[in-house]
Amino acid sequence: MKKVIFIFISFVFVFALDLTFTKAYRAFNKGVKLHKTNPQKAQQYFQKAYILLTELHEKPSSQVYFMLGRMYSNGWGVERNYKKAEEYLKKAIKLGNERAYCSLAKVYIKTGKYAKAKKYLDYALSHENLSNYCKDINPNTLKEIK
Amino acid sequence: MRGSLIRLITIAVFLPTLILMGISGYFLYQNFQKYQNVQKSTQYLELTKRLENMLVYLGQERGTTSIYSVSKGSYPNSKKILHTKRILFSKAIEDLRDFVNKHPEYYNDVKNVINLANKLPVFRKKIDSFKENYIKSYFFNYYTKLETEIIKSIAKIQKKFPDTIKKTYELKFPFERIISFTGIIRGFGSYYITADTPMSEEEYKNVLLKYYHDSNILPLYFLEPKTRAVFNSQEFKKIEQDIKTIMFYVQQANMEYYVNGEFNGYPIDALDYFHLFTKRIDYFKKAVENLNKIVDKELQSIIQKATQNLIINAVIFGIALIVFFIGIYIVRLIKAHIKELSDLLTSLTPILGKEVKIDIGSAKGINEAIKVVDEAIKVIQESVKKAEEATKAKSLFLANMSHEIRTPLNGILGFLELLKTTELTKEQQDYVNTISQSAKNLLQLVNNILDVSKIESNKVSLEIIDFKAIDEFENTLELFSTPAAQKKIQYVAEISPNIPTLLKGDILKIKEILQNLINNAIKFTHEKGLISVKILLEEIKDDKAKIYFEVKDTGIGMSEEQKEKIFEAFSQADESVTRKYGGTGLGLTIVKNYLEMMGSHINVESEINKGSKFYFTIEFDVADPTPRYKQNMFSNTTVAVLNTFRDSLRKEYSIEYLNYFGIARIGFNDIEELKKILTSEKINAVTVFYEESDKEEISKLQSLNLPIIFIASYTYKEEINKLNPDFTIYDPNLPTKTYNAITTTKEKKVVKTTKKEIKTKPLYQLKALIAEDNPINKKLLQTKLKAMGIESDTANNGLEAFNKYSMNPDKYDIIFMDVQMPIMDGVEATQEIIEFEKEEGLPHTPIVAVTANVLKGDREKFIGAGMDDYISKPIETNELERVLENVAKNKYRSYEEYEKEENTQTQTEESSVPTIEPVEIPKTEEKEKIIIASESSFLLNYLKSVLDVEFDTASQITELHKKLNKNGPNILIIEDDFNGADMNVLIKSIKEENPNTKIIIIGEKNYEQADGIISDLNPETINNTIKSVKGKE
Repeated sequence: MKKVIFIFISFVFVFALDLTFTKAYRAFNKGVKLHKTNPQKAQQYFQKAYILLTELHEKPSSQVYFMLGRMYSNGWGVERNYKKAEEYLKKAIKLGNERAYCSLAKVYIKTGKYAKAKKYLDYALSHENLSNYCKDINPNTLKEIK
Repeated sequence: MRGSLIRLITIAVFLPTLILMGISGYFLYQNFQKYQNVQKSTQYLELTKRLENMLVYLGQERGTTSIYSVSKGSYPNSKKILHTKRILFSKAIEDLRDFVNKHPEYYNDVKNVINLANKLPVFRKKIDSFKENYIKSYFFNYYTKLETEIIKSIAKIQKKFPDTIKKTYELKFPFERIISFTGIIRGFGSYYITADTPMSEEEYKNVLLKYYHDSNILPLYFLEPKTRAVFNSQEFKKIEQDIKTIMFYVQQANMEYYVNGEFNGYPIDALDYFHLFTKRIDYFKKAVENLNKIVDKELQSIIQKATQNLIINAVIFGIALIVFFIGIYIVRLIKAHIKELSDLLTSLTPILGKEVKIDIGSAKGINEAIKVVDEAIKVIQESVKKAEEATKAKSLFLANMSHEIRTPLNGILGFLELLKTTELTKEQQDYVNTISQSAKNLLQLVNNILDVSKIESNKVSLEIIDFKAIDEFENTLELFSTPAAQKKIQYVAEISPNIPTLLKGDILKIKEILQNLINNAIKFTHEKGLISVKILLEEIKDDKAKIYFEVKDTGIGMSEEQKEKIFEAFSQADESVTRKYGGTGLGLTIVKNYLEMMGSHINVESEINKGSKFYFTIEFDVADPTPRYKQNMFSNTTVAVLNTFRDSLRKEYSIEYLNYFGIARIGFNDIEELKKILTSEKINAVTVFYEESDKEEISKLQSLNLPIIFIASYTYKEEINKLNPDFTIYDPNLPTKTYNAITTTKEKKVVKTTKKEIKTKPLYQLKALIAEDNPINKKLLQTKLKAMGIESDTANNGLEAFNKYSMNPDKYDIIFMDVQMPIMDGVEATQEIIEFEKEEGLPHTPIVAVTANVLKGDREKFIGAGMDDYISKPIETNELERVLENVAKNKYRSYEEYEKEENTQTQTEESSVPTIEPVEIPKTEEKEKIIIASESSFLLNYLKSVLDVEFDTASQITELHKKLNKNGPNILIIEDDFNGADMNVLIKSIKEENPNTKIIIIGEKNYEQADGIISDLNPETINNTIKSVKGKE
């Protein structure tokens, strides 16, 4: 019930701010939600998100970099590009985004840079609230790294 | 109750002043306190401003540090921006520190703030190390804590403001809280959004929700319209909406995490979030600023008011102070005056017999003061009385002196005169003359003393009468010809012959002045010296003649000091003068006083051993402006003058007289020359200046058959007489002498010398009664009368006189009545006699008053008492003769008797006795009818005795008209208010009917139509007036 209300209100107030980021965020999250169930729709959302995010590209934002990183890492709305993903995620981490640690570790795992992956993973796991985002990392892979 | 008056005054003056001072002082103190408080408030406001400044920059630093910390400085420009913010915040802290350093008294109010603020560098360093979580370690623990302290301090300070400001100040609070909370949310939120991590549930509740919720309370209703308008603006409303939206997103994101365990980031950009809250803070900052402005303004106005009040109060207090000091001054002044007065009265207390200190500040003192003043007034009144008595005594003394001293002197002089008429040896004559002179000097001395006394007693006044100027002056000068000649002094006079015939003035005093001056001149000039007297007519203007008088000598002279002394009474030039020259030193005093009375003053020029000059000018009213001698009246006369071997002032003045008379002069050196002149010129006479001419030539002149006029000093009388002169002019030559000389020589009449002759005694066959208490005077008068052939009886007083008379009323032809006698005085006796005559119907026997009193008013007194005439003592022979003649001519008959014989007009004359008239002024040619119109018998009687002319009388107007000569000439002497008529009308009618009538009024009023006025009964005045009226055309 709360969810319904929240979503309803969010639509009402959506036009009050300079809402480019919010729009991008919404699009991104919608994509994230749908990418397993409806990849095509998700891609549409991700593409929309990508367009919006690139508008915000010049404005430094940890959140923007994080979203872009993930998009490049997972090929959401863009062609998978681990290099760009790494770049963006590193940028996001630099600006203080803590969720990016796991994402970056994941990228390093995918690209086989296990040492770096380990570094970031350790860092993420050492901070309690960050460890949540590493949940979807394969334990086996984790073992290998360890 | 000493000084109670002063105390009262002090209280009266100071009490209100002190009250005023007290009240104003109290208010001044209050206002000063207020003012100080207000000033303090200003400081507090300053302090507050600095604290608020710190708040602002603290918020900014805290916020930017969030971004900085979360990105470990990586956020673009975060370092730079933070650096700027740190600088700003540090400056704000510095400002506060400065303030506290300047005003250490405020340290306590911000102690905690400063202590915490001091730790800032440490924390900054820690933050820069990025070791700790900023939010957990520093955001709340330091920055927010500091912020709280600042807000606390501000709240504390608020209490110190004046009430009106407090209210406004209170309004700031919510805003400051909102700012603080907003800042917290901003910093806190932006950290987590940048970190893209959810807040812990605890943090979420205790921080975000708390502060967000609280920060939403907006006390709009407190605000004033302007600020309210700001918060009602669209812009602000939009911001609020945006914040609401954002907060909703943030809450949403966190809630999702708490509910689902899923966190998908925040749907707002961290910086957007940051900036939005900054905007909000800006609005509230503005509100705070506005409120600050209001507080400022209010504070200013309070300050102004406080200052104004302070100034007003200070002024009032100042005025009170001034009044206080004025009060002190006044009290002091009054005290001083009271003391002065008290001292003055104290100095008078000896009057009470004892010395008492008076202080009129006390009631007792006032009583004593009154006593003293009363006593003083009494004393003064007594003194005044005594002074008045003294003056009276002095007057009485004067009166008695006149009588007492003169009486024996009278005796001496009188008998000396008689002695002179007896046969004496040369030696005896000499002695008699010496004694006579001494006695005369003594009399003069006495007169001088009395004159000075009279002057000082103010008993002297001017008696203005008409007088014959030149005649009187000449007579006076003539008195000194012998004394001058005795000292062989050349004594000359220059008198203007054209001085008006009659002048008005007090001639007696002028004569006295001249006598004093000439006397002094003779006294102080040695033998063969020179004395010159000038009496010159300076000018005639507006019927006033200015006459210049001068007496100059070649005597011993005076120094400057001596000149100043001589006019003081009893002082002479110096003490040796009295010894050498005698005198009383009063003469010049009298001269000075008399001249001052006449509106003139005496001038002196003098040089030691060279001589002195005394001069003055008097203005006379002119009674008869005709010049005494007409100029050039002898223009057809020529005189031959024997030239002299030396000049002299005598010669100079004599020639001046000759010139005035228009007499031609021809000089000659010897008789031969004269003979030659005679062939061609008619010479009327020869003039010889004896002393200055050659004696041989003079003697030769005898052979000629010309009249010779000698001009010389009296010293040469004997020598000149040997030469059988036709006329001799002795010093001083005078206009009249020159006139006489010329007229005499022209008519070859018998020369009359101006020697004093002893008259031959007239003889009367009368019987007299003498009433006189003084035996000497009695004897004197008796002897004198005997010498005239008059037998007399005597009485010792008035009563005796009356008795003797009444027992034999027919016996006496005349009664000489002394005025001052014991038992019954002369006046009383006269009145008794007159009454007796009336009662018995007896014919009136003339009564003559014999008196030494010559004070003003005496004459009128005697006439009024009924006396017929009076003579003054010492008795002068000619006065006596006059009186006796009047008796002989029956001039003293009563009015009724005269009426009976009016028609016959018989004048009984003593046939056996020829009378030789003394030299007098020539009688008038015309026979004018003289009528006296009076209703008073006494007046008529008196006039009969006084006038030396015959007259008719009238007592009614009709009678008067009858007696007047229609064709005249008439002289009517009429008394004022005759028959009660209107004098102007009467005079007019008389003059109309009898044109050739001169009218003389007896009285005070001068009528226009009248020709003369007799206002006093002086015989001389009366005769003069009549003669002058006669002489008028």
